[in-house]
Amino acid sequence: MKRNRPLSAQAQDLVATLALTPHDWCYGYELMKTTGIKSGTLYPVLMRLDERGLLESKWMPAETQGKPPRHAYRLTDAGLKVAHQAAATRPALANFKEQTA
Amino acid sequence: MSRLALHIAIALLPPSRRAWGEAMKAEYAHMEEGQNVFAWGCLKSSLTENVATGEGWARLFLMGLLLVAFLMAGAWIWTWKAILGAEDAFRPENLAAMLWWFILGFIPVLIGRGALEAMKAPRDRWHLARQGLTTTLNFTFAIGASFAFVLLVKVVACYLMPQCAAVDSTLYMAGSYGIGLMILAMLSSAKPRTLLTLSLLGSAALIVLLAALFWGPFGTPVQPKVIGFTSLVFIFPLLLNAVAGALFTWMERPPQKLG
Repeated sequence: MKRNRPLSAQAQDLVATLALTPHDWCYGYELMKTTGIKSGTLYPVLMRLDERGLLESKWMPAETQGKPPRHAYRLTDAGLKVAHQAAATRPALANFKEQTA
Repeated sequence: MSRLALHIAIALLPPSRRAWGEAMKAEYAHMEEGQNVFAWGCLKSSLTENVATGEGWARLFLMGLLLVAFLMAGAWIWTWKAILGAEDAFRPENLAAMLWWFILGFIPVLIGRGALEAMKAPRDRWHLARQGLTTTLNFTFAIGASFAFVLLVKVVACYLMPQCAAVDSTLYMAGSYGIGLMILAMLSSAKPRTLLTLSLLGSAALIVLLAALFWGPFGTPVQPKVIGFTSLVFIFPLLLNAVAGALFTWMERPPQKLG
């Protein structure tokens, strides 16, 4: 049976960042730059969110010629709901993200 | 260096996470800076996934088992070489026998792998029965094949070196060799369509193997009994497993076919 643990601080940051542009697809590198989360933490967090159905992903064709397609991410409806709940419990962070976005 | 770290990271990811490895690789190709930190971070992610998921633990467990198997196989070869003495140890038939001991050392890996597969769905009787019986059959196949190989080498070696024939009983050799080959032929030609057939085949192969081991590949009338008794320790749980598999299959309604 899968346990639904509360989201870690980094996961909450990530969810909050993705919730700022709920309809846009974001790349891993962009998310790293925006949230300041390193790849060693970012990918495991993305994997957990995906496993819990909070994140959807798809391959997007590369904008630059000769480069491979990129994996892009955005929140699902369930993910957005969690993001709003997290924002309610961490309003200061949400405000900060909105101001710096 | 960072590219190498990325490749290692992708290779180490548990199979269910391979798509994420591809995502990391693609992102790396698009990065303008910080590729080094990114790649090492991916390696950290990969290692984390091996510790954080059941699948990763299973892989670590199997790797540990493989290491133990190497050590066991090495220890058995060392003992065998000590018994024979350095001069005789490198004769073809003895080398073949050492290889047999080496293969025997890997049996825990085979059983461990089967157990891990079975634990993926511990409440599914049919899955358990299928996994148990497949492992049993793989085990019998590994033993039977190595057994036949050793005896083939022994026969060839004794044909080339007549002094060997004086030590080995032709009857034992021929009998065991024939039985070993029979097991091989039976297992390689059979493609069971139902679990019950697989169960019956596994049980039959085990009984034949047991008989072959009691009859003995190693020449003297005393040794086979010892070898047979030792093998019983390995084979008895597998025989129980075959019976349990047959019971589980019989309990399954409607009966399922092997896919």
